[in-house]
Amino acid sequence: MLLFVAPAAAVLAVTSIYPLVTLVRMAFSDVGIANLFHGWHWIGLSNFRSLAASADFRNAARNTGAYVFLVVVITVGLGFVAALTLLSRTRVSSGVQALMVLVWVLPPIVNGGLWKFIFSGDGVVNTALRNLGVSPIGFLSNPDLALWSLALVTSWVTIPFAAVVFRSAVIDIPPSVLEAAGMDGASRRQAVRYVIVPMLRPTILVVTILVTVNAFRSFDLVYVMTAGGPGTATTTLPFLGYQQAFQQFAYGLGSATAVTCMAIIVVLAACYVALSRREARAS
Amino acid sequence: MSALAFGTARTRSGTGNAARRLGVLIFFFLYALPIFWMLLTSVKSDGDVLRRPSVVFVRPTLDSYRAVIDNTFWLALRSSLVIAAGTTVLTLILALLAANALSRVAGLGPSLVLGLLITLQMVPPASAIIPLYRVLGQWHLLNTLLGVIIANSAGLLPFAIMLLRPFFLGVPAEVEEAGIVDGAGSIRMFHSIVLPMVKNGATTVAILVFMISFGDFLFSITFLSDPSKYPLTALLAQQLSFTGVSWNRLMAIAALGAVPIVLLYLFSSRRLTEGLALGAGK
Repeated sequence: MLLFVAPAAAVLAVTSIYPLVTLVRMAFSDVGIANLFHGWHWIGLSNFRSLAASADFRNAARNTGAYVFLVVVITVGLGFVAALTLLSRTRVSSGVQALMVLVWVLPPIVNGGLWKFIFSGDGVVNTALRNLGVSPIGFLSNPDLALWSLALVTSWVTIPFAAVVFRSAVIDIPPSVLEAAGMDGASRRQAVRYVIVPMLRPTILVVTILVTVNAFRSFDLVYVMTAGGPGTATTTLPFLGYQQAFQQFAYGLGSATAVTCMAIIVVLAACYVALSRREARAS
Repeated sequence: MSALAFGTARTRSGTGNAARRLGVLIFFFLYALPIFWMLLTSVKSDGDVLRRPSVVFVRPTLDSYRAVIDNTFWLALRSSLVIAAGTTVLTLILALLAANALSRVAGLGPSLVLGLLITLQMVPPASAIIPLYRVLGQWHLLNTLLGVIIANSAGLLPFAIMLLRPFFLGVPAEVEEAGIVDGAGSIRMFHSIVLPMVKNGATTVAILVFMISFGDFLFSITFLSDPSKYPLTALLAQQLSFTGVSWNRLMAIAALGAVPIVLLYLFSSRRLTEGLALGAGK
């Protein structure tokens, strides 16, 4: 048995656990570009104190909360609608679903670049608006709109995932249950509300957590579409940590931000584990 | 089929079906139009992109493709394929071994390991990259494709183990016991008995790992200081950050960068869709 665990355990220890330990040590040290590889000074909670006092950090925390909330609501909501819409096993439904999943597997940079183009000042939407005599919309350049635009594109990429999972869960509902509802005179809307949603509750919870984690982790779209801007309007916590480390070369401070992200992830992971265990026991 | 049968049994099925058809159409356009726009822009001439950005009917030209397919492009494609293939092979070998072991041991240990793996799988790459930068630097692997492969594998290994484990759990214990009675050693048994039984799961995981590592640009753009080593994604990210970009050329790079993924997807869409539903349903 040892023979099998050893390689993966060794690799994980070296490439995941050791870096995490390094990350925590860096968060408690004064690490800059000059001493990245040697000579760290232990400075206790100093980095975290700087973060707590920093307006940038609070702003990033607020942005992250708003962004994750928007993505989760839009993705889970429209993912569910898409699942019900594409439920039938016709060629058209399968084709549309296949197209959606294709978008989901495309490199994030391709999707991000495409939407940066569509949303840009001389992009298709704004050109069309101008032709209609409407003033253009700064999807990515207006600080009040940029986070929304980013959340919409993130949802556009993630909805296929939610839709596929929901669709297969609805298909797994025993036909007799839906037939019984139909015989009792339930309308389609009533069937969705009183039969499908309650039966899908565990799936909805799991998808909600996975989408939350995914939105929280997301970096690629922010990097490509807005680079955290305009100003700091779309700077999320993981992005702030990256900026602090690789643009300001304040590795210690960036690590402290990253450790904060890790703490949030541990909580989300614990929810996920607790939830899937409860479901495993229930089934 | 169940919900369909239910749908036709209802009284208001006519309006219901019309609404559903409209819904299908909306989702189709929501996903087809942006992709169409990317492809259309990539075959527009420089003049058309600049002067008439929203015009649909243009004389298509392959000029942008001719302009972007140069030496840099081939080098980037090569880097992309090396990174994706290297990550897939490394991740798959390690994940197969680990998932096999994790499915054969009972007790508290595996649960703890699983919890750890779930957490590791959720770590934001932008956070993991800070210590990885230092660790790869210590090993003199910065600015090498191997370093990028290791970083990608580190990020994807927990995910791959988690996805593979259910397939190993599905291998009946009797099969292995029979192997032991026959005197098969554990490596031979793994290779000739267990592995063929998890082939489907392994293929799905390999495809996903390939697609994800092909799509990575964060590790490459951070660890590779020499842009001639950039994969396609990093090349695209770099060009997107320039001001005054020519969108037709960028869309051509984006479309070309999507080709390997689309090809892979054509062969695996059903498998991926089913794996996706299964993976999240667990």
